[in-house]
Amino acid sequence: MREDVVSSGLRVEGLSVEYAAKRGLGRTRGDTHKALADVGFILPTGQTLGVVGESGSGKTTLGHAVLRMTPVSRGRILWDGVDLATLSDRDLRPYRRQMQLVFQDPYEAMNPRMSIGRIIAEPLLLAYGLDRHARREQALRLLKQVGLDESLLGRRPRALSGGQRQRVTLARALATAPRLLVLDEPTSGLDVSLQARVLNLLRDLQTDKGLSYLFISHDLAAVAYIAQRLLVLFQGRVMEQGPTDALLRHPAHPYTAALLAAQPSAVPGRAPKDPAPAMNPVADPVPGACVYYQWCGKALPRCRMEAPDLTSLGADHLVACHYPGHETTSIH
Amino acid sequence: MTTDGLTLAVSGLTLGLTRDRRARPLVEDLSFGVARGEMLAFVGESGSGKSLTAAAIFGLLPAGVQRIAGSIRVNGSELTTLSERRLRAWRGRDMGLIFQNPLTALSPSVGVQAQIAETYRVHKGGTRDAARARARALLAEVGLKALATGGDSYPHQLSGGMRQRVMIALAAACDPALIVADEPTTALDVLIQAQILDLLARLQRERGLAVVFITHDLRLAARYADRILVLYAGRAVEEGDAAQFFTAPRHPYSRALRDAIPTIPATGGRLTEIPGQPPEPRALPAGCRFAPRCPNVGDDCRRTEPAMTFDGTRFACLHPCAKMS
Repeated sequence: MREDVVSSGLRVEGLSVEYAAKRGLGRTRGDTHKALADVGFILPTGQTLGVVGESGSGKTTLGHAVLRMTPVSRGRILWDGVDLATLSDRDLRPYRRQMQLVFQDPYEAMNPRMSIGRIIAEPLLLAYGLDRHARREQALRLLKQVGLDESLLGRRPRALSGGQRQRVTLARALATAPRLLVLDEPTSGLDVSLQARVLNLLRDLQTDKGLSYLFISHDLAAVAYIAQRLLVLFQGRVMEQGPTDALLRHPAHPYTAALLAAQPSAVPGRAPKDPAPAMNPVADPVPGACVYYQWCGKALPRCRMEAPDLTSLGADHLVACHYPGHETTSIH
Repeated sequence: MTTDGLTLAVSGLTLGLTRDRRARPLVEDLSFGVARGEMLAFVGESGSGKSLTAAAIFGLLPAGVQRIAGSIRVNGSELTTLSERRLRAWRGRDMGLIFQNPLTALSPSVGVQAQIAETYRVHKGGTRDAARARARALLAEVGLKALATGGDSYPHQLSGGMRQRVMIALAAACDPALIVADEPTTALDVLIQAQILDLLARLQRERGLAVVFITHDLRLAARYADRILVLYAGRAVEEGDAAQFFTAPRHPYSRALRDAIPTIPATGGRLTEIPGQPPEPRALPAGCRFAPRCPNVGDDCRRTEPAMTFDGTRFACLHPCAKMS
């Protein structure tokens, strides 16, 4: 990437996050566990990138790494052309206001002894040092923005429903007028009716404010609703990425296809044809093989010998598979 | 409803608060049946009474809630008149319960083989060795071959999906007639979710189990269950064949639940929201409970609580949706 190509929005290149591995059988000192390996993507202003994968795929780590909440081992995080990965904590501070995280479990992300008003207004105090009166005014405005009644201002988190709490965390994230939200499974704990409300709200906020979203979820249907582009992660590696519609209509990677097949579809009375793969999540990867090799139903000898690179499948669509399949999925 | 041949037959079940007997019930006049080899899904929002009903079947109602009326029969035997001691023998032996969070249901300090073996021995007797062999066979049957051989494993050593498989093995240990699965996959990823529900459906088929599957996701209900029962604020609002249900729900609430779900690929339109919130048991509206949130509402809805009628599906609505929507 040349320095003169400065795009607005977020551009991540070769992002890796590694931890020192636990020492155990067959592992020697100095081994690392690659939570994320060489992840790259572009998120243009005002758009949504959906990040999908199972638990342990690195979704949450990716969200945290982009916000510099977890140490980055290698790679660049370009925000309007500035590499956030190299900034000191001090230099990073102005950028922190522009990027906010919305946690998966809103209850755990709130101090149970603080009122909703204080929870929402706290970032305003920290970031801008607003006085009490101005903070209250802003908190009211934010509350209204996420469709909550001002009577909630004095309540404690305990008194709110799950959907209301999730909207409170959203209001708090919006307090510093961010341009990017990292949404970590924002709807996974909610009933379908509340999920619909939160997803619609997110879409409206995006349209109104030109927000960019990094939307992390294992629910492909929710992602399909909100994201223009998708990034499929497995064990910290990008398996496939591209336009949402193309990816869901014609998944090229067997893992994407497996995720799709496992998705509860609107086709009644039809249990899945292929039993879902992945039974033993703790198996050590075969060195040099494709990371998905042990789970893949279509693996051939080459997949064991050689890990596939991320290659272009045309029109913005990348896949890391030696034998990308253009098969239609079982979901119509 | 005839109760002949039904594994589970619940009729007129009404649950309410112990302290405040004048308060409106939490679950009111609920009747349903599940036959051998059949899966019935309970669908509804949080607080609709799904889990309370499951707890009532097992005689495990939380403190402060009691059964006010109604009968619960398993294989023709009335459970509501049994003593706690007799009921304890029924639980585990004739009916198994699978919880949302297996970690709270499994003992943290006993290996999973030993837990299953103990359950089996308590109900069925026999030698320790026989019970252990049975536990291993069950673990293999639920796809945990690695846990079936060799030494025992503790729940904390297992992944969420593996724990839920152990729960299923435990629930099925004594060859029960009925299994109730209360949101068994809510905490799990989609792939694991599909595996767990596939497994449950397989046991249902192979062993002829009657299964009550509790979920808030109509898609899962439609995919796995034979019939669906939709609960709203403690009352059944619609019950019918799963396939028919998804294509043409008659109750506006069922339709709203269906239309709130995003599809793959996305249609491009907005998701349909259900305005407002379910009513508190203390402040139920007069007439139909769904009336304040209902798009089809008429004046009559606010006066009379609709009774169940049959037209394709059983539903309780004065202004139902068209037969094919």
